[in-house]
Amino acid sequence: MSLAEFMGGINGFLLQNVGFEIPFLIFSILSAVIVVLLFAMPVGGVCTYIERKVAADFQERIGPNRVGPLGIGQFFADGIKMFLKEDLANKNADMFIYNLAPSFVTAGALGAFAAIPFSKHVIGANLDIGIFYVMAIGSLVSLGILLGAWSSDNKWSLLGGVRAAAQIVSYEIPLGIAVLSVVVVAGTLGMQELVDMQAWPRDQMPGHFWHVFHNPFVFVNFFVFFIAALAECNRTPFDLAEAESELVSGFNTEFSGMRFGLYALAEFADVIMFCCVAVAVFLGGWHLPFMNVENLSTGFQVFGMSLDPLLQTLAMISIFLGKAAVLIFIVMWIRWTLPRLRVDQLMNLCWKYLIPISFVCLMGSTLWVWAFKGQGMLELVNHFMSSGRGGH
Amino acid sequence: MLQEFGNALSFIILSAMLPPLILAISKFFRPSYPHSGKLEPYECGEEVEGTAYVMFNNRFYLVAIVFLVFDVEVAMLFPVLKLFRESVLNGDGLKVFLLAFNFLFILLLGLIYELKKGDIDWIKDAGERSAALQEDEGYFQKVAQKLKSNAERGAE
Repeated sequence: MSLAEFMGGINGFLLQNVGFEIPFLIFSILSAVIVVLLFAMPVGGVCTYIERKVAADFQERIGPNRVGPLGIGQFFADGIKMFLKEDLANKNADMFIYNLAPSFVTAGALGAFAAIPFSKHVIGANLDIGIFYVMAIGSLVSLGILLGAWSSDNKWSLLGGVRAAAQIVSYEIPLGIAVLSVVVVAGTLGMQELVDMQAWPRDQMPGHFWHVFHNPFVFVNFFVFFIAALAECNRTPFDLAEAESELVSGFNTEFSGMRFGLYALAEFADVIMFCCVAVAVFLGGWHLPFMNVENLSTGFQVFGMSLDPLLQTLAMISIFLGKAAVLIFIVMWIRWTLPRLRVDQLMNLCWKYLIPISFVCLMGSTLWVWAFKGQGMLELVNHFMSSGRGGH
Repeated sequence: MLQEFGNALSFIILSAMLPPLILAISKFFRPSYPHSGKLEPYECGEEVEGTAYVMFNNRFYLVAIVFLVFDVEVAMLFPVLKLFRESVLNGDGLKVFLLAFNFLFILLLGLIYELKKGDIDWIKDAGERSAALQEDEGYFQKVAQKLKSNAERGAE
Protein backbone atom coordinates (compact mmCIF):
# COMPACT_ATOMS: atom_id res chain seq x y z
CA MET A 1 0.00 0.00 0.00
CA SER A 2 1.40 3.34 -0.95
CA LEU A 3 1.03 6.71 0.70
CA ALA A 4 -1.46 7.90 -1.93
CA GLU A 5 -3.70 4.85 -1.39
CA PHE A 6 -3.33 5.30 2.36
CA MET A 7 -4.69 8.82 2.03
CA GLY A 8 -7.23 7.57 -0.51
CA GLY A 9 -8.94 5.79 2.39
CA ILE A 10 -10.62 9.15 3.00
CA ASN A 11 -12.54 8.66 -0.27
CA GLY A 12 -14.70 5.91 1.20
CA PHE A 13 -15.72 8.22 4.04
CA LEU A 14 -16.41 11.10 1.64
CA LEU A 15 -18.44 8.93 -0.71
CA GLN A 16 -20.68 7.79 2.13
CA ASN A 17 -21.21 11.14 3.86
CA VAL A 18 -20.76 13.86 1.25
CA GLY A 19 -21.32 11.97 -1.95
CA PHE A 20 -18.26 12.75 -4.04
CA GLU A 21 -14.76 11.41 -4.55
CA ILE A 22 -11.43 13.18 -4.85
CA PRO A 23 -9.56 11.98 -7.96
CA PHE A 24 -6.57 9.74 -7.26
CA LEU A 25 -4.30 12.18 -9.08
CA ILE A 26 -4.73 14.69 -6.24
CA PHE A 27 -3.58 12.13 -3.68
CA SER A 28 -0.68 11.15 -5.90
CA ILE A 29 0.52 14.75 -6.16
CA LEU A 30 -0.17 15.30 -2.46
CA SER A 31 1.99 12.31 -1.52
CA ALA A 32 4.82 13.64 -3.69
CA VAL A 33 4.49 17.05 -2.02
CA ILE A 34 4.54 15.48 1.45
CA VAL A 35 7.60 13.33 0.84
CA VAL A 36 9.64 15.77 -1.25
CA LEU A 37 8.70 19.21 0.08
CA LEU A 38 7.83 18.35 3.67
CA PHE A 39 10.34 15.56 4.29
CA ALA A 40 13.32 15.38 1.94
CA MET A 41 14.04 19.08 1.55
CA PRO A 42 13.68 20.19 5.19
CA VAL A 43 15.62 17.15 6.41
CA GLY A 44 18.32 17.92 3.82
CA GLY A 45 18.44 21.46 5.20
CA VAL A 46 18.58 20.32 8.83
CA CYS A 47 21.35 17.90 7.87
CA THR A 48 23.54 20.76 6.62
CA TYR A 49 23.13 22.34 10.06
CA ILE A 50 23.82 19.04 11.85
CA GLU A 51 26.88 18.45 9.69
CA ARG A 52 28.29 21.83 10.71
CA LYS A 53 27.57 21.08 14.37
CA VAL A 54 29.17 17.63 14.10
CA ALA A 55 32.19 19.14 12.33
CA ALA A 56 32.47 21.75 15.09
CA ASP A 57 32.33 19.03 17.75
CA PHE A 58 35.05 17.03 16.01
CA GLN A 59 37.28 20.10 15.86
CA GLU A 60 36.41 21.40 19.34
CA ARG A 61 34.65 24.50 18.07
CA ILE A 62 31.14 25.73 18.86
CA GLY A 63 29.73 25.83 15.35
CA PRO A 64 26.65 27.80 14.29
CA ASN A 65 24.97 29.23 17.41
CA ARG A 66 23.41 32.58 16.46
CA VAL A 67 20.12 31.89 14.70
CA GLY A 68 17.58 30.50 17.12
CA PRO A 69 18.33 28.20 20.07
CA LEU A 70 21.65 26.37 19.47
CA GLY A 71 21.70 27.89 15.99
CA ILE A 72 19.01 25.52 14.75
CA GLY A 73 17.64 28.21 12.43
CA GLN A 74 20.95 28.45 10.60
CA PHE A 75 19.87 26.38 7.60
CA PHE A 76 16.77 28.50 7.19
CA ALA A 77 18.80 31.71 7.30
CA ASP A 78 21.25 30.24 4.79
CA GLY A 79 18.37 29.33 2.51
CA ILE A 80 16.93 32.85 2.62
CA LYS A 81 20.36 34.34 2.01
CA MET A 82 20.95 32.16 -1.04
CA PHE A 83 17.41 32.86 -2.26
CA LEU A 84 18.15 36.59 -2.29
CA LYS A 85 21.57 36.36 -3.99
CA GLU A 86 22.24 37.39 -7.56
CA ASP A 87 22.13 34.49 -10.02
CA LEU A 88 25.17 34.86 -12.25
CA ALA A 89 26.18 33.05 -15.41
CA ASN A 90 29.23 33.52 -17.61
CA LYS A 91 28.72 35.42 -20.82
CA ASN A 92 29.64 32.34 -22.89
CA ALA A 93 27.65 29.86 -20.78
CA ASP A 94 25.23 27.57 -22.61
CA MET A 95 22.15 28.98 -20.92
CA PHE A 96 19.70 26.30 -22.05
CA ILE A 97 21.69 23.43 -20.53
CA TYR A 98 22.79 25.62 -17.61
CA ASN A 99 19.15 26.11 -16.61
CA LEU A 100 18.19 22.51 -17.33
CA ALA A 101 20.97 20.89 -15.27
CA PRO A 102 19.63 21.48 -11.70
CA SER A 103 16.40 19.70 -12.69
CA PHE A 104 18.33 16.51 -13.40
CA VAL A 105 20.08 16.63 -10.04
CA THR A 106 16.90 17.18 -8.03
CA ALA A 107 14.94 14.67 -10.13
CA GLY A 108 17.64 12.11 -9.36
CA ALA A 109 18.08 12.81 -5.68
CA LEU A 110 14.52 13.72 -4.65
CA GLY A 111 12.64 11.62 -7.21
CA ALA A 112 14.22 8.46 -5.81
CA PHE A 113 12.45 9.10 -2.49
CA ALA A 114 9.30 7.74 -4.17
CA ALA A 115 10.40 4.16 -3.51
CA ILE A 116 11.71 4.55 0.05
CA PRO A 117 9.54 2.47 2.44
CA PHE A 118 9.29 4.58 5.60
CA SER A 119 6.77 2.22 7.17
CA LYS A 120 4.40 -0.53 6.13
CA HIS A 121 1.91 1.96 4.70
CA VAL A 122 4.04 5.02 4.09
CA ILE A 123 5.81 4.65 0.76
CA GLY A 124 5.54 7.07 -2.12
CA ALA A 125 5.05 4.49 -4.86
CA ASN A 126 4.96 0.80 -4.00
CA LEU A 127 6.63 -0.34 -7.23
CA ASP A 128 7.33 -4.00 -7.87
CA ILE A 129 10.73 -2.91 -9.22
CA GLY A 130 11.43 -0.44 -6.37
CA ILE A 131 15.15 -0.99 -5.94
CA PHE A 132 15.70 -1.00 -9.71
CA TYR A 133 13.84 2.32 -9.91
CA VAL A 134 16.03 3.82 -7.19
CA MET A 135 19.22 2.75 -8.95
CA ALA A 136 17.98 4.05 -12.31
CA ILE A 137 16.69 7.41 -11.13
CA GLY A 138 19.63 7.91 -8.75
CA SER A 139 22.05 7.88 -11.67
CA LEU A 140 20.45 11.01 -13.12
CA VAL A 141 22.49 12.97 -10.56
CA SER A 142 25.74 12.39 -12.45
CA LEU A 143 24.07 13.66 -15.64
CA GLY A 144 22.99 16.85 -13.88
CA ILE A 145 26.45 17.47 -12.45
CA LEU A 146 28.15 16.87 -15.81
CA LEU A 147 25.70 19.08 -17.73
CA GLY A 148 25.93 21.90 -15.18
CA ALA A 149 29.72 21.76 -15.18
CA TRP A 150 30.03 21.53 -18.96
CA SER A 151 27.69 24.40 -19.70
CA SER A 152 29.13 26.87 -17.19
CA ASP A 153 32.15 27.72 -19.38
CA ASN A 154 34.88 27.34 -16.79
CA LYS A 155 37.93 25.08 -16.86
CA TRP A 156 37.69 24.16 -13.19
CA SER A 157 34.04 23.25 -13.64
CA LEU A 158 34.75 21.12 -16.70
CA LEU A 159 37.52 19.15 -14.96
CA GLY A 160 35.42 18.73 -11.82
CA GLY A 161 32.45 17.67 -13.91
CA VAL A 162 34.25 14.97 -15.90
CA ARG A 163 35.85 13.73 -12.69
CA ALA A 164 32.47 13.55 -11.02
CA ALA A 165 30.96 11.74 -13.99
CA ALA A 166 33.79 9.18 -14.20
CA GLN A 167 33.63 8.59 -10.44
CA ILE A 168 29.87 8.29 -10.09
CA VAL A 169 29.62 6.13 -13.18
CA SER A 170 32.38 3.76 -12.00
CA TYR A 171 31.00 3.31 -8.51
CA GLU A 172 27.54 2.56 -9.83
CA ILE A 173 28.75 -0.92 -10.80
CA PRO A 174 29.81 -2.18 -7.33
CA LEU A 175 26.68 -0.47 -5.97
CA GLY A 176 24.46 -2.38 -8.37
CA ILE A 177 26.21 -5.70 -7.79
CA ALA A 178 26.01 -5.27 -4.00
CA VAL A 179 22.27 -4.72 -4.32
CA LEU A 180 22.02 -7.76 -6.62
CA SER A 181 23.48 -9.97 -3.90
CA VAL A 182 20.49 -9.02 -1.74
CA VAL A 183 18.03 -9.44 -4.61
CA VAL A 184 19.28 -13.04 -4.96
CA VAL A 185 18.64 -13.65 -1.28
CA ALA A 186 15.21 -12.01 -1.16
CA GLY A 187 13.95 -13.01 -4.60
CA THR A 188 12.11 -9.71 -5.05
CA LEU A 189 12.76 -6.19 -6.32
CA GLY A 190 9.95 -4.42 -4.46
CA MET A 191 11.10 -2.31 -1.52
CA GLN A 192 8.13 -3.26 0.64
CA GLU A 193 8.70 -7.00 0.08
CA LEU A 194 12.44 -6.58 0.62
CA VAL A 195 11.70 -5.13 4.05
CA ASP A 196 9.03 -7.75 4.80
CA MET A 197 11.60 -10.50 4.18
CA GLN A 198 13.71 -9.15 7.03
CA ALA A 199 11.34 -9.80 9.93
CA TRP A 200 12.60 -11.56 13.02
CA PRO A 201 12.15 -15.31 12.31
CA ARG A 202 9.54 -17.15 14.39
CA ASP A 203 8.40 -20.71 14.52
CA GLN A 204 5.49 -20.20 12.17
CA MET A 205 6.39 -16.98 10.40
CA PRO A 206 9.09 -17.00 7.74
CA GLY A 207 11.64 -14.24 7.65
CA HIS A 208 15.38 -14.19 7.75
CA PHE A 209 16.25 -11.20 9.87
CA TRP A 210 18.30 -8.35 8.40
CA HIS A 211 19.89 -9.13 5.07
CA VAL A 212 23.34 -8.09 6.32
CA PHE A 213 23.31 -11.13 8.58
CA HIS A 214 21.85 -13.49 5.99
CA ASN A 215 25.21 -14.82 4.92
CA PRO A 216 28.85 -13.67 5.12
CA PHE A 217 28.89 -12.59 1.47
CA VAL A 218 26.05 -10.12 1.89
CA PHE A 219 27.79 -8.86 5.02
CA VAL A 220 30.89 -8.01 2.93
CA ASN A 221 28.74 -6.54 0.18
CA PHE A 222 27.06 -4.18 2.65
CA PHE A 223 30.40 -2.46 3.16
CA VAL A 224 30.99 -2.41 -0.60
CA PHE A 225 27.56 -0.77 -0.95
CA PHE A 226 28.34 1.81 1.71
CA ILE A 227 31.71 2.75 0.18
CA ALA A 228 30.20 2.97 -3.30
CA ALA A 229 27.30 5.06 -1.96
CA LEU A 230 29.80 7.49 -0.41
CA ALA A 231 31.43 7.86 -3.82
CA GLU A 232 28.03 8.23 -5.51
CA CYS A 233 27.20 11.17 -3.26
CA ASN A 234 30.61 12.82 -3.80
CA ARG A 235 31.31 12.64 -0.07
CA THR A 236 34.77 12.64 1.51
CA PRO A 237 37.03 10.64 0.99
CA PHE A 238 35.70 10.64 -2.58
CA ASP A 239 34.93 14.35 -3.04
CA LEU A 240 37.40 14.76 -5.89
CA ALA A 241 34.79 16.49 -8.00
CA GLU A 242 34.99 19.50 -5.67
CA ALA A 243 38.53 19.08 -4.40
CA GLU A 244 39.23 22.64 -3.26
CA SER A 245 42.99 22.06 -3.12
CA GLU A 246 43.16 21.25 -6.84
CA LEU A 247 40.02 22.50 -8.59
CA VAL A 248 38.94 25.60 -6.58
CA SER A 249 35.41 24.27 -6.08
CA GLY A 250 35.13 21.74 -8.88
CA PHE A 251 31.88 21.46 -10.78
CA ASN A 252 30.14 24.21 -8.81
CA THR A 253 32.80 26.92 -9.24
CA GLU A 254 30.53 29.13 -11.32
CA PHE A 255 27.26 28.49 -9.51
CA SER A 256 25.92 31.30 -7.39
CA GLY A 257 22.97 31.96 -5.14
CA MET A 258 20.06 29.57 -5.18
CA ARG A 259 21.57 27.50 -8.00
CA PHE A 260 24.41 26.50 -5.69
CA GLY A 261 21.90 26.01 -2.90
CA LEU A 262 19.89 23.58 -5.00
CA TYR A 263 22.96 21.53 -5.84
CA ALA A 264 24.06 21.44 -2.19
CA LEU A 265 20.56 20.46 -1.07
CA ALA A 266 20.26 17.79 -3.74
CA GLU A 267 23.62 16.35 -2.71
CA PHE A 268 22.50 16.06 0.89
CA ALA A 269 19.19 14.59 -0.24
CA ASP A 270 21.26 12.03 -2.15
CA VAL A 271 23.14 11.10 1.05
CA ILE A 272 19.86 10.71 2.94
CA MET A 273 18.38 8.70 0.07
CA PHE A 274 21.31 6.28 -0.04
CA CYS A 275 21.27 5.87 3.76
CA CYS A 276 17.54 5.10 3.59
CA VAL A 277 18.14 2.57 0.80
CA ALA A 278 20.92 0.93 2.82
CA VAL A 279 18.55 0.67 5.79
CA ALA A 280 15.70 -0.73 3.69
CA VAL A 281 17.79 -3.19 1.72
CA PHE A 282 20.45 -4.34 4.17
CA LEU A 283 19.55 -3.24 7.69
CA GLY A 284 16.00 -4.49 8.01
CA GLY A 285 13.94 -1.35 7.35
CA TRP A 286 11.64 -0.89 10.33
CA HIS A 287 12.25 -4.35 11.76
CA LEU A 288 13.94 -4.76 15.12
CA PRO A 289 15.55 -7.91 16.54
CA PHE A 290 13.53 -10.10 18.96
CA MET A 291 10.17 -8.51 18.13
CA ASN A 292 7.79 -7.56 15.37
CA VAL A 293 6.59 -3.97 15.39
CA GLU A 294 3.55 -4.93 13.31
CA ASN A 295 2.14 -6.81 16.31
CA LEU A 296 2.65 -3.90 18.68
CA SER A 297 -0.51 -3.19 20.65
CA THR A 298 -1.11 -0.73 23.46
CA GLY A 299 -4.89 -0.65 23.70
CA PHE A 300 -5.13 3.15 23.66
CA GLN A 301 -8.45 4.32 22.29
CA VAL A 302 -9.86 7.63 21.09
CA PHE A 303 -13.63 7.89 20.43
CA GLY A 304 -13.82 4.12 20.39
CA MET A 305 -11.23 3.80 17.64
CA SER A 306 -8.02 1.98 18.36
CA LEU A 307 -4.88 4.09 18.15
CA ASP A 308 -2.70 1.05 17.45
CA PRO A 309 -2.37 1.45 13.64
CA LEU A 310 -1.25 5.05 14.11
CA LEU A 311 1.20 4.14 16.88
CA GLN A 312 2.58 1.24 14.84
CA THR A 313 3.13 3.50 11.86
CA LEU A 314 4.83 6.12 14.02
CA ALA A 315 7.03 3.45 15.62
CA MET A 316 7.99 2.06 12.20
CA ILE A 317 8.83 5.50 10.82
CA SER A 318 10.93 6.40 13.84
CA ILE A 319 12.79 3.07 13.78
CA PHE A 320 13.48 3.48 10.06
CA LEU A 321 14.63 7.08 10.35
CA GLY A 322 16.64 6.30 13.49
CA LYS A 323 18.65 3.70 11.61
CA ALA A 324 19.09 6.09 8.69
CA ALA A 325 20.24 8.83 11.11
CA VAL A 326 22.95 6.54 12.49
CA LEU A 327 24.22 5.92 8.95
CA ILE A 328 24.11 9.65 8.14
CA PHE A 329 26.15 10.34 11.28
CA ILE A 330 28.70 7.75 10.14
CA VAL A 331 28.93 9.51 6.77
CA MET A 332 29.66 12.81 8.58
CA TRP A 333 32.12 11.06 10.88
CA ILE A 334 34.04 9.66 7.89
CA ARG A 335 34.27 13.16 6.43
CA TRP A 336 36.29 14.39 9.40
CA THR A 337 38.36 11.22 9.73
CA LEU A 338 39.71 10.21 6.32
CA PRO A 339 41.80 12.32 3.92
CA ARG A 340 40.81 12.64 0.28
CA LEU A 341 41.94 10.01 -2.24
CA ARG A 342 44.01 10.74 -5.34
CA VAL A 343 42.20 10.35 -8.64
CA ASP A 344 44.17 7.26 -9.75
CA GLN A 345 43.66 5.67 -6.32
CA LEU A 346 39.95 6.33 -6.69
CA MET A 347 39.78 4.44 -9.99
CA ASN A 348 42.01 1.63 -8.70
CA LEU A 349 39.84 1.19 -5.61
CA CYS A 350 36.75 0.83 -7.76
CA TRP A 351 37.95 -1.30 -10.67
CA LYS A 352 40.63 -3.39 -8.98
CA TYR A 353 39.12 -3.97 -5.55
CA LEU A 354 35.44 -3.18 -5.16
CA ILE A 355 34.18 -4.70 -8.43
CA PRO A 356 36.05 -8.05 -8.07
CA ILE A 357 35.12 -8.27 -4.37
CA SER A 358 31.45 -7.57 -5.05
CA PHE A 359 31.47 -10.04 -7.97
CA VAL A 360 32.88 -12.81 -5.81
CA CYS A 361 30.41 -12.02 -3.04
CA LEU A 362 27.50 -12.03 -5.48
CA MET A 363 28.59 -15.44 -6.67
CA GLY A 364 29.02 -16.63 -3.07
CA SER A 365 25.61 -15.30 -2.10
CA THR A 366 24.00 -17.06 -5.08
CA LEU A 367 25.69 -20.33 -4.18
CA TRP A 368 24.57 -19.94 -0.56
CA VAL A 369 20.95 -19.53 -1.65
CA TRP A 370 21.30 -22.60 -3.86
CA ALA A 371 23.02 -24.73 -1.22
CA PHE A 372 20.77 -23.86 1.74
CA LYS A 373 17.50 -23.34 -0.17
CA GLY A 374 17.45 -19.64 0.58
CA GLN A 375 17.81 -19.95 4.35
CA GLY A 376 19.92 -17.44 6.24
CA MET A 377 22.47 -18.10 8.97
CA LEU A 378 19.97 -17.35 11.71
CA GLU A 379 17.34 -19.63 10.19
CA LEU A 380 19.91 -22.40 9.86
CA VAL A 381 20.89 -22.03 13.52
CA ASN A 382 17.19 -22.03 14.50
CA HIS A 383 16.55 -25.04 12.33
CA PHE A 384 19.57 -26.88 13.72
CA MET A 385 18.59 -26.15 17.31
CA SER A 386 14.97 -27.16 16.87
CA SER A 387 15.93 -30.39 15.06
CA GLY A 388 18.43 -31.09 17.87
CA ARG A 389 15.64 -30.63 20.39
CA GLY A 390 13.42 -32.89 18.31
CA GLY A 391 16.05 -35.65 18.43
CA HIS A 392 15.99 -35.90 22.23
CA MET B 1 0.58 -1.26 -10.47
CA LEU B 2 0.12 1.34 -13.21
CA GLN B 3 -1.20 3.68 -10.54
CA GLU B 4 2.01 3.19 -8.57
CA PHE B 5 4.09 4.09 -11.61
CA GLY B 6 1.94 7.19 -11.98
CA ASN B 7 2.80 8.02 -8.37
CA ALA B 8 6.50 7.67 -9.10
CA LEU B 9 6.08 9.89 -12.17
CA SER B 10 4.45 12.60 -10.06
CA PHE B 11 7.48 12.44 -7.74
CA ILE B 12 9.90 12.82 -10.64
CA ILE B 13 7.93 15.66 -12.24
CA LEU B 14 7.57 17.53 -8.94
CA SER B 15 11.28 17.27 -8.13
CA ALA B 16 12.32 18.21 -11.66
CA MET B 17 10.03 21.26 -11.56
CA LEU B 18 11.46 22.52 -8.25
CA PRO B 19 14.66 24.25 -9.52
CA PRO B 20 13.03 26.24 -12.36
CA LEU B 21 10.19 27.16 -10.03
CA ILE B 22 12.44 28.31 -7.17
CA LEU B 23 14.75 30.20 -9.54
CA ALA B 24 11.76 31.85 -11.22
CA ILE B 25 10.26 32.94 -7.88
CA SER B 26 13.58 34.25 -6.60
CA LYS B 27 13.84 36.39 -9.75
CA PHE B 28 11.36 38.80 -8.14
CA PHE B 29 13.50 39.21 -5.04
CA ARG B 30 17.12 38.94 -6.10
CA PRO B 31 19.17 41.85 -7.45
CA SER B 32 20.67 41.75 -10.93
CA TYR B 33 23.57 44.11 -11.66
CA PRO B 34 25.70 42.35 -14.26
CA HIS B 35 28.95 43.92 -15.41
CA SER B 36 31.87 42.66 -17.45
CA GLY B 37 33.93 41.49 -14.47
CA LYS B 38 31.11 39.36 -13.09
CA LEU B 39 30.43 37.70 -16.42
CA GLU B 40 34.01 36.45 -16.89
CA PRO B 41 34.80 32.84 -15.94
CA TYR B 42 36.67 32.49 -12.65
CA GLU B 43 40.35 31.76 -13.15
CA CYS B 44 41.83 32.76 -9.80
CA GLY B 45 41.82 36.46 -10.66
CA GLU B 46 44.03 36.08 -13.75
CA GLU B 47 42.80 37.16 -17.15
CA VAL B 48 40.86 34.42 -18.91
CA GLU B 49 42.95 32.27 -21.24
CA GLY B 50 41.06 30.80 -24.22
CA THR B 51 37.75 28.97 -23.87
CA ALA B 52 36.73 26.46 -21.21
CA TYR B 53 36.45 23.63 -23.70
CA VAL B 54 40.00 22.37 -23.20
CA MET B 55 41.32 18.89 -23.91
CA PHE B 56 41.13 16.53 -20.97
CA ASN B 57 42.49 13.08 -20.23
CA ASN B 58 40.95 10.53 -22.61
CA ARG B 59 40.92 7.98 -19.74
CA PHE B 60 37.55 9.48 -18.81
CA TYR B 61 36.26 8.32 -22.17
CA LEU B 62 37.64 4.79 -21.70
CA VAL B 63 36.08 4.55 -18.24
CA ALA B 64 32.75 5.59 -19.73
CA ILE B 65 32.96 2.85 -22.39
CA VAL B 66 33.90 0.12 -19.88
CA PHE B 67 31.12 1.35 -17.62
CA LEU B 68 28.55 1.06 -20.39
CA VAL B 69 29.25 -2.66 -20.81
CA PHE B 70 29.13 -3.35 -17.09
CA ASP B 71 26.03 -1.28 -16.48
CA VAL B 72 24.09 -3.10 -19.16
CA GLU B 73 25.24 -6.32 -17.57
CA VAL B 74 24.04 -5.33 -14.10
CA ALA B 75 20.70 -4.23 -15.55
CA MET B 76 20.36 -7.57 -17.36
CA LEU B 77 21.20 -9.57 -14.24
CA PHE B 78 18.42 -7.98 -12.18
CA PRO B 79 15.52 -10.02 -13.67
CA VAL B 80 17.51 -13.27 -13.82
CA LEU B 81 18.65 -13.11 -10.21
CA LYS B 82 15.22 -11.94 -9.05
CA LEU B 83 13.86 -15.29 -10.23
CA PHE B 84 16.76 -17.26 -8.75
CA ARG B 85 15.25 -17.92 -5.33
CA GLU B 86 12.01 -19.12 -6.89
CA SER B 87 13.82 -21.47 -9.25
CA VAL B 88 15.93 -22.90 -6.41
CA LEU B 89 12.72 -23.78 -4.56
CA ASN B 90 11.35 -25.29 -7.80
CA GLY B 91 14.46 -27.41 -8.15
CA ASP B 92 16.16 -25.92 -11.21
CA GLY B 93 18.51 -23.60 -9.40
CA LEU B 94 21.61 -24.99 -11.07
CA LYS B 95 20.28 -24.19 -14.54
CA VAL B 96 19.64 -20.54 -13.70
CA PHE B 97 22.93 -20.30 -11.82
CA LEU B 98 24.89 -21.52 -14.86
CA LEU B 99 22.86 -19.28 -17.16
CA ALA B 100 23.51 -16.14 -15.12
CA PHE B 101 27.12 -16.85 -14.35
CA ASN B 102 28.14 -17.86 -17.85
CA PHE B 103 27.23 -14.34 -18.75
CA LEU B 104 28.95 -12.89 -15.67
CA PHE B 105 32.06 -14.98 -16.13
CA ILE B 106 32.65 -13.78 -19.69
CA LEU B 107 32.42 -10.19 -18.50
CA LEU B 108 34.73 -10.96 -15.60
CA LEU B 109 37.26 -12.26 -18.15
CA GLY B 110 36.80 -8.97 -19.98
CA LEU B 111 37.54 -7.05 -16.79
CA ILE B 112 40.68 -9.12 -16.18
CA TYR B 113 41.77 -8.40 -19.77
CA GLU B 114 41.20 -4.68 -19.23
CA LEU B 115 43.17 -4.73 -16.00
CA LYS B 116 46.06 -6.64 -17.58
CA LYS B 117 46.12 -4.32 -20.57
CA GLY B 118 46.24 -1.36 -18.21
CA ASP B 119 43.28 0.51 -19.69
CA ILE B 120 41.95 1.22 -16.24
CA ASP B 121 45.22 2.47 -14.75
CA TRP B 122 45.33 6.23 -14.65
CA ILE B 123 48.98 6.25 -15.72
CA LYS B 124 49.02 3.47 -18.24
CA ASP B 125 52.58 2.55 -18.95
CA ALA B 126 55.24 1.67 -16.40
CA GLY B 127 57.85 3.76 -18.26
CA GLU B 128 55.58 6.76 -18.24
CA ARG B 129 54.98 6.28 -14.53
CA SER B 130 58.65 6.05 -13.60
CA ALA B 131 59.40 9.08 -15.78
CA ALA B 132 56.70 11.01 -13.94
CA LEU B 133 58.10 9.84 -10.62
CA GLN B 134 61.64 10.88 -11.61
CA GLU B 135 60.37 14.24 -12.69
CA ASP B 136 58.72 14.64 -9.32
CA GLU B 137 61.89 13.58 -7.55
CA GLY B 138 64.00 16.05 -9.54
CA TYR B 139 61.55 18.79 -8.60
CA PHE B 140 61.65 17.88 -4.93
CA GLN B 141 65.46 17.82 -4.99
CA LYS B 142 65.49 21.25 -6.59
CA VAL B 143 63.15 22.59 -3.90
CA ALA B 144 65.24 20.97 -1.16
CA GLN B 145 68.43 22.50 -2.57
CA LYS B 146 66.83 25.90 -2.80
CA LEU B 147 65.61 25.70 0.78
CA LYS B 148 69.03 24.56 1.89
CA SER B 149 70.84 27.41 0.14
CA ASN B 150 68.31 29.87 1.52
CA ALA B 151 68.93 28.52 5.01
CA GLU B 152 72.72 28.81 4.54
CA ARG B 153 72.36 32.35 3.31
CA GLY B 154 70.20 33.09 6.34
CA ALA B 155 72.82 31.61 8.67
CA GLU B 156 75.55 33.80 7.16
